[in-house]
Amino acid sequence: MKNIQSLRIGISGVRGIVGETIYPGNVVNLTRAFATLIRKGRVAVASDSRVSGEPIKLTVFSGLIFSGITPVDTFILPTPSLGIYVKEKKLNGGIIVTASHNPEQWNGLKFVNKHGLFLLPFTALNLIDIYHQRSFLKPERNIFPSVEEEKNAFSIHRQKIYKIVDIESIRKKKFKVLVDPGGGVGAFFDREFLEFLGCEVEMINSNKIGGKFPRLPEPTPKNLSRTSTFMKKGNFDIGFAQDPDGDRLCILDEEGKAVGGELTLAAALYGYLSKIKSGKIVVNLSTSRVIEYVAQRFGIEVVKSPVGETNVVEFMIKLGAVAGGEGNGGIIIPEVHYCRDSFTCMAVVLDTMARFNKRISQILDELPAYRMIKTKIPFSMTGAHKIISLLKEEFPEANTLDGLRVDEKNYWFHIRPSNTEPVLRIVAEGNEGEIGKIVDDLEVKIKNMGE
Amino acid sequence: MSLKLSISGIRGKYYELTPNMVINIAHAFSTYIEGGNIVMCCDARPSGKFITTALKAGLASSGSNVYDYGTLPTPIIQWIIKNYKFDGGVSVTGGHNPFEWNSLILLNSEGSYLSYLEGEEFFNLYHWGNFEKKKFDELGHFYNAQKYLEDYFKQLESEDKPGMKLKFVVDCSNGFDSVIIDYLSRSLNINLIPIFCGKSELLQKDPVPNSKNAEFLATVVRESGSDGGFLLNSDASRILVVDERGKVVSEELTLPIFARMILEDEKSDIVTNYSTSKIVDRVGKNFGVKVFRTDVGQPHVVQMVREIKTKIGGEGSGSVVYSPFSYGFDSFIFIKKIVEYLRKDNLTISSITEEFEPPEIYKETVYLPPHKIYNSLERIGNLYSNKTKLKDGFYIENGDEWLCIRSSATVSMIRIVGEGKSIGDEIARIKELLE
Repeated sequence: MKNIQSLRIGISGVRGIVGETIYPGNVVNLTRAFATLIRKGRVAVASDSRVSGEPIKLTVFSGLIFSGITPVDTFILPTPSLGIYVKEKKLNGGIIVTASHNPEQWNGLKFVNKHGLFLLPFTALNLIDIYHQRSFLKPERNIFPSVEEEKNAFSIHRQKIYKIVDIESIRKKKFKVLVDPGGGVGAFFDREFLEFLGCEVEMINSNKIGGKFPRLPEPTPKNLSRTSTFMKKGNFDIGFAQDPDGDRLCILDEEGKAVGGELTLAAALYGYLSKIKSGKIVVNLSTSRVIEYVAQRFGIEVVKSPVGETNVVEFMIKLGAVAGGEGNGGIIIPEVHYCRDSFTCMAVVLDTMARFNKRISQILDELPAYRMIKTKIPFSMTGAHKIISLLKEEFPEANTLDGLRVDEKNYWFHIRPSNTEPVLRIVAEGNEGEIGKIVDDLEVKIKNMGE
Repeated sequence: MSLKLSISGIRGKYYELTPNMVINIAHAFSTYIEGGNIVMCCDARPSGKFITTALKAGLASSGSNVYDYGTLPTPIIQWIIKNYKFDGGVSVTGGHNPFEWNSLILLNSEGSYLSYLEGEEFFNLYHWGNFEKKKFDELGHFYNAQKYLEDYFKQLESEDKPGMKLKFVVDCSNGFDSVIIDYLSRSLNINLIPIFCGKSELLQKDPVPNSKNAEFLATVVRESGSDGGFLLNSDASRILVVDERGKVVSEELTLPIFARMILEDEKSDIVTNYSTSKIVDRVGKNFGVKVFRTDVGQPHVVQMVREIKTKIGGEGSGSVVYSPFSYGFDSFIFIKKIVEYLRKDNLTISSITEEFEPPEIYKETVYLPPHKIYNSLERIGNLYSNKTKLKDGFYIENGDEWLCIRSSATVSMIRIVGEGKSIGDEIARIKELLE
């Protein structure tokens, strides 16, 4: 059973444990399925810094070449950079070898279309169908493409970010920055990226290509305790921690406190929206009200989408939103690309500090303090859906776009079945004194419903 | 369906040898040799691009370190494996097959093809399908190998001081590029004019060394006033000679010429297969050494060379092995020997080749569906009482005349090869019976 659970073929890509559920045999079939979808042309291939990336990438090359598609090797690259590269260079698609924030024994594939965007749900389902049917493209002629190489794909990404910030004012500040790429792709790009902005850069957990990640790869406060301690000693202006493929970010303030994904997004939006001053932003239904506070301040409307980056991006495109994101850190700014991006987030946060001439803690102190609780209750997939429909009767006013979101004056909660685990996820936010009891009551209610 | 799995190569057309299959072969081979350091190379066929990438991925995923030499003829990695203690090797080459074919040739830690028994073990493992799949921290590593390549060509260097610089034309059958030819001309101190050299997807030619495919080479030899020419197949495991007048010498004479040159200096029995001209027997007789025959194919010939501890082996298809040097069919060692031989007494190629009568050999093929091959072989075999059974057919000898009827190792067909005045009629009769 363990093996079956550790292979996840979903709309956001494929993930598994190397040697157990991810191995050349299934990687080649997934690649051939993607090639069958793409049909022809050139496809960029990148990997994050995992040691298992190289054989998986070679497998991807083989599957593409056999299908007559030219692989463009972009080497180790952040996930957002690959999407941008595909779009700007007018390639036919892209494949990223990464397991995102999962630990080092994992790896997987993410697919992007010719616009550099993750596959839309129906395309992803189409890919999975082709994968299961094994009806792949076959070579018709004895002519096969060679692998092309591109060592400079990150520079396109970098240039796009520099265009949306005030480089000179950031440079004047000579920020002292600590960066923690967690042994991920950031280790290859962070220093140059930030030094261009005049920062004095120090790095921690920046070993390139190690077997093991130096810390747990998800950039959450509890995984960043060593980074916090390190920061306290160094008189830094700010700290940045990324996940292995460089799309998520968590800020550490000048005291070394990791502020979490919600406030990281809020801080980035604070500066970016203050320049834009109109339009809409999109966040998911589980995102903090802090975002709404920031948006209101600059006259921006907040629209809520179902959970998941592809959903946020789909809403953003439909609405022509100026920015978006999720509470797990990393901002999406269409002017750069429709992809969650730690590099954009770093630059925008530095821009905010420079322009308002404020320390990061001062900016965050202006924001309302809520308490957020995230919990889960074990339920089978069908059980979880049954609970949701019962709850819908109880809360007829609720937003039912993705599970159930209930908004009250002083608090809100969002309950939805997980896509990856047999659980019901609950996210709630409110005042420090009250929200704990609200969640406790909710849990009791749900457990009773389940009996 | 033309896939054929044997120790002579795991062979198929470009659309049959899929990445999926290559990955499984690689897993099985890495599991078979229990990880370790594996050398690989390929010829310049277009399908090599997806085969080599899948091969590397599969080998490393089962825990082997991969030393990739890129486009390189098989005999060179065979020599490297033997001399630098690697654990095995894989060459991606279609050898003498047309360009739409390719194959994986598996090499053991001696740099020779898997023996018959090793092959049994390997294919059992492959069919069993239970391969070693390593976790993230036990995966093999990749190395772009260059090391030892110069050592190989150093071994080919001659001690003799050359007088006049000899000039030859080399036809590489588009199997590899001119880097190898540069190395070779430097180490042998000769001028080489390469033709059909390098990767070309448009200019493809049939890579079997035979008289027909040597016509262009012969013309270039004449026009350039060279001292001779060499036609190699796409992995340099077979070779045919053209003399200084542009006359094509049959590939059946490659082994007799080689044996004759070696035997002048050192004594050694000779191993060849049942399907090779008896001209080599006459060479053996002249020098008082024995000629042994075995099943057709590099694995069998080299296996016997090693078992009876002799130096010389080869086949009528134009291949030679010289065991003090390596355990692979190696055309470069042939070129070295012939260059040294010519220099020693200021000879010409024709002065050697004219010692030999052109072989009176007949080669025919009969295409049959796979399920009819062995039945048909048995039916024909029953007509002969004095036959020698082979792994893939049988052999009949009558004085100087002989006949070898066997299943092809590569294509679904029966090969009939014979030598002697009356054999042509006999082969026509068999062909009629089979069709």
